[in-house]
Amino acid sequence: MRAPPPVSDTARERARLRAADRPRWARRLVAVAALAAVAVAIAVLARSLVAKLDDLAGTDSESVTWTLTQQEIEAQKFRVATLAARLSPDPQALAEVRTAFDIYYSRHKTLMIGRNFRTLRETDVTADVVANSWEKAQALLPTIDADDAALRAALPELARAADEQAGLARTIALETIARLAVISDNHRSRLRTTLSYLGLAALVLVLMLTGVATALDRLYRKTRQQAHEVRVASERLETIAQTSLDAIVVLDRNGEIVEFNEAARRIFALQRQQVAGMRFSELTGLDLGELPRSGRIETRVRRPDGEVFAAELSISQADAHATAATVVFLRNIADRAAAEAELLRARDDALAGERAKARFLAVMSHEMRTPLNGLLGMIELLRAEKLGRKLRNYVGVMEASGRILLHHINDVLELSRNEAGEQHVAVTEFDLDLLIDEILGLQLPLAENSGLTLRLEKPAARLGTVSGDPMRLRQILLNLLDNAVKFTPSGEVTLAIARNTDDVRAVDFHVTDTGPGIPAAALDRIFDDFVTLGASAAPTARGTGLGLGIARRLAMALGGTISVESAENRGSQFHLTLPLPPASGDADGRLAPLAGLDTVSNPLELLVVEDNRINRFVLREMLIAMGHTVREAVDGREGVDLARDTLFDLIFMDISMPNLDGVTASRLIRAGGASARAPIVALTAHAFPEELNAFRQARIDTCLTKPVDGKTLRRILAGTVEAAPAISPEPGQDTLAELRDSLGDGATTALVRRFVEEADLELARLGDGSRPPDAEMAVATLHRLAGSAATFGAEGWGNALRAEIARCRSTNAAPQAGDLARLAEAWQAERQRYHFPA
Amino acid sequence: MTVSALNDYSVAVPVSDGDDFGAMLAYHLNGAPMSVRDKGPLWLVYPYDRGRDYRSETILTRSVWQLDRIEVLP
Repeated sequence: MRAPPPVSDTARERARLRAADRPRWARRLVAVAALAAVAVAIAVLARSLVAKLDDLAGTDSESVTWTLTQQEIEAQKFRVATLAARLSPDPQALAEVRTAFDIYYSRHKTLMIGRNFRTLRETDVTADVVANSWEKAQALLPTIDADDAALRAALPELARAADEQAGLARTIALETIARLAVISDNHRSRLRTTLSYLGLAALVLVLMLTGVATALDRLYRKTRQQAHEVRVASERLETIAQTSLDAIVVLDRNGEIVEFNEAARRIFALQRQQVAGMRFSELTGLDLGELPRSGRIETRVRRPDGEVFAAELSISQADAHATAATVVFLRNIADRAAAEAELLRARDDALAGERAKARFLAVMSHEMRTPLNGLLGMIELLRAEKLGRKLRNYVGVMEASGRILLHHINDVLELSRNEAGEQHVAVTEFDLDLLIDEILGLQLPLAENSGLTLRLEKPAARLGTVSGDPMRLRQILLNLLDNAVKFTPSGEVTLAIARNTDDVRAVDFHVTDTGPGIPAAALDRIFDDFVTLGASAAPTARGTGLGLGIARRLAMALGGTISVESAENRGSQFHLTLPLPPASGDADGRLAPLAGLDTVSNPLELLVVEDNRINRFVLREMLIAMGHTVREAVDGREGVDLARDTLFDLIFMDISMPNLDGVTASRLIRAGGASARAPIVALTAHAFPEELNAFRQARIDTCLTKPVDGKTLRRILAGTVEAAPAISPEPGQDTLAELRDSLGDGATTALVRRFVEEADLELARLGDGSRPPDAEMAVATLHRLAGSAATFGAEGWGNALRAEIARCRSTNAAPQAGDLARLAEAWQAERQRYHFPA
Repeated sequence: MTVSALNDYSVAVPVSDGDDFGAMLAYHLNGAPMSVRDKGPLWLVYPYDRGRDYRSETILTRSVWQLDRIEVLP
């Protein structure tokens, strides 16, 4: 698509040119007119000059002079003939007198009638003389025509008359010559004037012609100069076009090639004559109409010989006057494109190699850890044996070395996990005070072995339950303390803890030692991976150099910061700040009083022993909503302790728990204590006949199969339920609806979310069978899942889990790939119920 | 030929003038022989009214009146 040429612009241009032409055109007309006028003047003057020359050369004056002179001569001849006749008696002499008179008379007659002599006859001075002379000549006629005798007698008189005639003729001649001289002078004067004018006109003409010649010469020079400049510019452009590394192709408005430079010939492998008349589409395989009218574009070009290459095109339009043309610069960028592709490939290869390395590291570490765990376990067994002092020492060294090796492997595994992006932060609520005690307990033996004092500084008030990732926090603090203990030869290591003064949601940890300190030069890189400082500080304590790097990564992953202050020989102080907000359960975690559950008149003091957090929460909330007071124990041990000290009206006891299971715990409660006689209701996901037998032996009053519903709870608490081996939920009940009734929508949704997320997480932890999980761990996990499943009435899912637990127990092996796939399928089917996005 | 007059005026005239210029010898004036007083006896005349060429100086000098001798030169 071509836009129409800008007509208005062209029209304006032409008008401008016309306006510039007008004065030049007028000037030229004036010059031509002037030249013509001068030429005409010259012609007129020349003609006048010719006429005057004719006048001057006219025969009149000369012939008049001649005639008058002849007249005088003839008069003299007549007088001489007369004188001769007086001296000679010969009659012949008289005849000659008559002839001479006749000749003279005929001349005089001519004078009297000739046209040329009119002026002579009529001019004042000569007119009288001529008339007088003619009269006297006529008077002589009778004498001449008389006979010889009379003539001879008249000769003296005739001689006097002839003399007089000669005198008159002379007078006429002289007068006439004088008059003619004046006339001739006038003629000459006029001729001179005319000649002067003619000369002047000729001079003007010559000057004008000189001017014209000069102007023409200047014009010629200017034109030649311009032609030269145009040629130089055009040669320069030609040179530029020919030396350009880019192909330059110029097309006319029909898309035919007009210009084609050297680089274009090279790129398209064509000769100039082959290109003549070729169209752009034939040359490049591109449709000019589909390309932008101007601008840059990268595309693929097909040469006439079929070769295709990547090219960059720069297109512009040259709309100079009427010859619209398209100029295309074309560059072969095949090499560049190939280089870019090569670079990308190299980068991808490098990244892939990097990932492969990290994966290899992770797998190796994992593979090493398993046999190492075996070794450590055997060493522990060995310690239990009766050994001699020497062997005991050997075993101690072996164990210490094994522990260090395990620690290093864990470091590397953690690092490679971080590198691979597998860094899960599992936020949960936990007791910070307990965690700190545990950490110090772990670190204390090591410190004491090194002769160090390990101190804890913390506020008198409990830090309480906080929300965060306890595993990660434990790891960071262990790394920091381990580091401090390892590199401090003597003195003390202090762990100071306090809520951040600026941000109450954050907690500050400071680990201070009295070690050799860190040189200032090393402070910047102390948190980098694989950094170990000079061996002189602690010759025996060498690490992988990963501890602090991992600590920093974890701190950042948790949204915290870590830093260090140190000076050589002045000890070191590491600062860790982590967001650990007080747990919601502590302050306002208790749900608002629930609707739908009628409170009872006699509130009971109840104990719930349940390890599953969700189940515990659900049961607690239901009971509180009914108006009872609830104490909770997270495992059998805690439950037994609470039951010993407090008198409970009723105890809910989960059966499947770690450390101390429900049956054992119940037996211990019955063995003695404040609540030894309190009714105990067993909670189980499944009631196998052999288990019910065990319950009876442990003096468990009732067995309640999950999920627990409010109605059943009320019946139990009202004491209307007889001691029965097992109570199953009422058939046909919608467990989720029941939960909603008991807890309200918001809480139920939050619970369901927790249930689904937990199941997702646990299943993921079991893996897909490529790396079979530990059998015991797998059974515990399946158990936890089954417990939750019952609470939410996930019957199919619960059955699948229970079947798998039974299979694992009977074969004493971990679930295999096929089993895990079946479980995953069952879970996905169950998951649909909760409308949670995968 | 050389043409001469009574007063011994003389001029050379080419014979071809008769053919080229129509020169002729006049011997009568108004039906009568010409006297000397009327420029007789003979007068060599040219047709002067035919144009400028017939009134040139050369022609006029050849127009001899009172002609009395003609000498044909070899």
